[in-house]
Amino acid sequence: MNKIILKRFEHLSIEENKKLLSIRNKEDIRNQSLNKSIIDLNSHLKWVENLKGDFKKEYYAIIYSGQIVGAINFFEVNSTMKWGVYFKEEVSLLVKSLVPIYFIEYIFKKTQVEFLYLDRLKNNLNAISFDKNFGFYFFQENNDYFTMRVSSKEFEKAKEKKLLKRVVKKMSNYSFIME
Amino acid sequence: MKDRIEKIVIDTLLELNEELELKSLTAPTLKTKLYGASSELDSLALVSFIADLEERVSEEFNKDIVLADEKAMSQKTSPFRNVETLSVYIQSLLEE
Repeated sequence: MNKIILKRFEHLSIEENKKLLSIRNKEDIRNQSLNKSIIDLNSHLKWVENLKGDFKKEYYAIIYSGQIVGAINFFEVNSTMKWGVYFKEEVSLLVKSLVPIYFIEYIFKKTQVEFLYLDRLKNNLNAISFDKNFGFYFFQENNDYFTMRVSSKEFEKAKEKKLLKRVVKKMSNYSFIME
Repeated sequence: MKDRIEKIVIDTLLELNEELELKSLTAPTLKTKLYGASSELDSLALVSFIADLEERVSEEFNKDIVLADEKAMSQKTSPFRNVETLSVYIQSLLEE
């Protein structure tokens, strides 16, 4: 059984935070982010400190085969719940597909929100296509990005479609641990 | 064996495209891109396609193969580049 650990940023060691930032600050990841600036370790650690006790946001490092391979999160902003994820480029496509499914399920269960939102740069067509597989659809157009959303019912419906069903089936080979 | 494998790959792709409705996949050939910069398939669709393909190949050749494993899915020179490279990869697994 393959193990995927989602470890809260607050629980990461300094070294783990450094590794996480080295992924976050890679050009390919920044190019796909709304915030393209490089984040330094001190600013990051101060920001992580502020996460403690904030129940409206959760940020996790994704650990696979003992290595930090990306990060995933949800946070409430302007009364809407948003989520985001990034991975190192070379991570297995299976892991890149399974972690979001697991985490979206977790967000809906944990927060009980009706809708989940995400922001996606307009030129990131592959990611938009990826999001649509989960039932996300365009909700709002902004300058250089779209806000997309999905309801819990729509997400469940998407999981019943053949495309997603075949991927969900692969989850039985993986165990998820949240720390 | 080669022709049978290629036919299964193309048939599986056509069925996937019934859901996706991508123009680039309406008439797939050996050179049809599956994943990479010039492919329209996103990573989730590719994983779904590969999972379906595993079942079909296993049924057709009565041998279980695993395409969606870590090794293949994390290779930089991925066997999933196009229909041809994938077919060759499947044949190598069947002949192991």
